[in-house]
Amino acid sequence: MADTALTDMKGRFAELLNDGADFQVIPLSAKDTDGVFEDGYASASITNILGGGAVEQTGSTWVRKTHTNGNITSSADDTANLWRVVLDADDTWSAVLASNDVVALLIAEVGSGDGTDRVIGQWDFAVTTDGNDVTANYDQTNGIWTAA
Amino acid sequence: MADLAALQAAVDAAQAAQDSLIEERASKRASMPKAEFKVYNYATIQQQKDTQAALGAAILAFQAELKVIRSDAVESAISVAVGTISESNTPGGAN
Repeated sequence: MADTALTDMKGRFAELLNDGADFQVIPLSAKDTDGVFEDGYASASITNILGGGAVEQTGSTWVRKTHTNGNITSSADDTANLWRVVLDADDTWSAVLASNDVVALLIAEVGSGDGTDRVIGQWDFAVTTDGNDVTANYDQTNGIWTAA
Repeated sequence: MADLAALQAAVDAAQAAQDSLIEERASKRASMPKAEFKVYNYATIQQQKDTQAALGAAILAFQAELKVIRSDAVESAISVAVGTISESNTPGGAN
């Protein structure tokens, strides 16, 4: 299992950001294998991805977290010669009760509904919950995404 | 001690503002020409930042009060680093 993207959506993240799209982070309690996630779906819609082995975690205080366009840095890194995407703020979930574990986070478009909004990729995010707050700590230097 | 219910209400209100903004932006993105939406987007970046910052601050205030109540929480709060997905030489897909 690795941080990975839908093959059909590669090259799209920066394009969508540049067009002004907003995004959301969706916690998962189960996920498909990397191979299925990358290439195994008929479309990239959230409904389609969650209709497979991926299961959204909605227990306790888990909710989707939205990041509007102005809160996502998307810019060229001319030193490393790549495009870099940085989520400007971490996401935190308050007092997540035990037995509401997660294994991954999806990133997807937001605003048009699950049948239309497309998933871009997923990160490993293994958390065994115990009642404490949970923070997704986004890398402010390397970003969550690069395209070269 | 702050009123936990009031702090939760502040989180809910900030979340509602964020949801409303997302909905408004999605509507405009669907109805506006792409170039026009980009102008609108750039013109409202500060509003987006302010809305997201208000939500983040409300959540942190709520969590801080929770930690006062649950005195063990400060030491054992869970923080998980999120990795970087790297694309290379990808021309884009078909969907």
